Amino acid sequence: MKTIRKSFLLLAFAAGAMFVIGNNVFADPTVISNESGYSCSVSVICSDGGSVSCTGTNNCSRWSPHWVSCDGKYTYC
Amino acid sequence: MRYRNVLFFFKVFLFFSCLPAEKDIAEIHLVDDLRLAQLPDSSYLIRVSSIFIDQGKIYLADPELNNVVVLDENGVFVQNIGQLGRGPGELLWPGQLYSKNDTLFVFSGGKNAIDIFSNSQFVRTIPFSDVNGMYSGGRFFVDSGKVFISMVDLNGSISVIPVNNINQNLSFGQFIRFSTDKQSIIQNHRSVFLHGNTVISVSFFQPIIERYSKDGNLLEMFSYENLELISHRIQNARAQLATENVALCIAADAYIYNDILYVLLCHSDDEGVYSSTILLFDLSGEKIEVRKKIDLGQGWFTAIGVTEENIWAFRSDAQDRYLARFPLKGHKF
Repeated sequence: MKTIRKSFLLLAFAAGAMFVIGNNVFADPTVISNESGYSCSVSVICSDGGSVSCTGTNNCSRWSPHWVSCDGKYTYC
Repeated sequence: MRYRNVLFFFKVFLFFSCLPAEKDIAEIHLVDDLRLAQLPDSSYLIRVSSIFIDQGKIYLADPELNNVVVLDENGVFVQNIGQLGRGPGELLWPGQLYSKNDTLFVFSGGKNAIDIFSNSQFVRTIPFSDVNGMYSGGRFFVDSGKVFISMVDLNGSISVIPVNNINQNLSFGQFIRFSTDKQSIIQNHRSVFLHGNTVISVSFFQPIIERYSKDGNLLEMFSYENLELISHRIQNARAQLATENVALCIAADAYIYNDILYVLLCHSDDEGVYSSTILLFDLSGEKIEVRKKIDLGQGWFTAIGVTEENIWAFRSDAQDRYLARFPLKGHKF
């Protein structure tokens, strides 16, 4: 009888935990920020053979052969 | 020691800050009445990096199309100038434009050169390979046979390059030092404009406008860092100073029409980053003054051009890409 009660409690706890995880109850709402669902990325090959890239949700551009910019953040080779 | 220069830079900001209360800056909301995305040859405008308007013609530089698109003042297609290539008159990654009396100057980032066209016909190429400094991608102008352009190196931020003798170039302009040489060069990028007998400089990554004489004397330095509209952005930009090759845009583009400097801002709040507000600065007096701000509505805008009747702006974001015309409808600045 005691074992059944223990198992039931364990099951209830597991179900509760799955609900919390499944519904992202504790997640910071700001993490889900890309409400429009759009995203972009861009990269360039640098003259030294390396590359720079970035991702954003608004504007992604190759500004010149040496620059990329995403949402106004510029990264240089 | 490492942060002493940065600290000095912030002190300079505070010293030169003299902005009106933000509530005193009138805001105008504009709505576009024309959107142009596709050209008659069925190609699309992809990423217009520069708009220049001269003598009723609207010039658009598109680094993805590798040519310059010419429209009339109503936005009707007139012609293309240039084509993809590295040769004379060919364009590779055209970034910025300047036009005067139907002579068009096109800077190609991929060629590191300016190609000159007169009445749409190729004239000559000015190679910049021997000019010191890194081209900033900013606006430039040509006056009395000299190109005024921001080529940044450790000696200065603005170069004056004679069209007929590029080796006799001069360098001037404020140069703010940061932790490393690379960071200093990146953070000092700017656009330059001719206004009367003065040179106006608009920094990309600092909230600073400067006024110089044409021979390089600093006449005025104006900071708009205290503006509430961009204070959030400036805080973020300062946080980025630890990363050597990263900079946050403050001024996405700028344009001068009559005595007004229009600065397309990158600004942000807790929700996101925006590039849809234009701040107007009055250049007519002895001191630069903030006049108004213009809201273009939704979208991320990358380039602007201004006439008496309209503001033209290119929207380029994940949702839409087009050239928009915003009628000013009698607004006087």
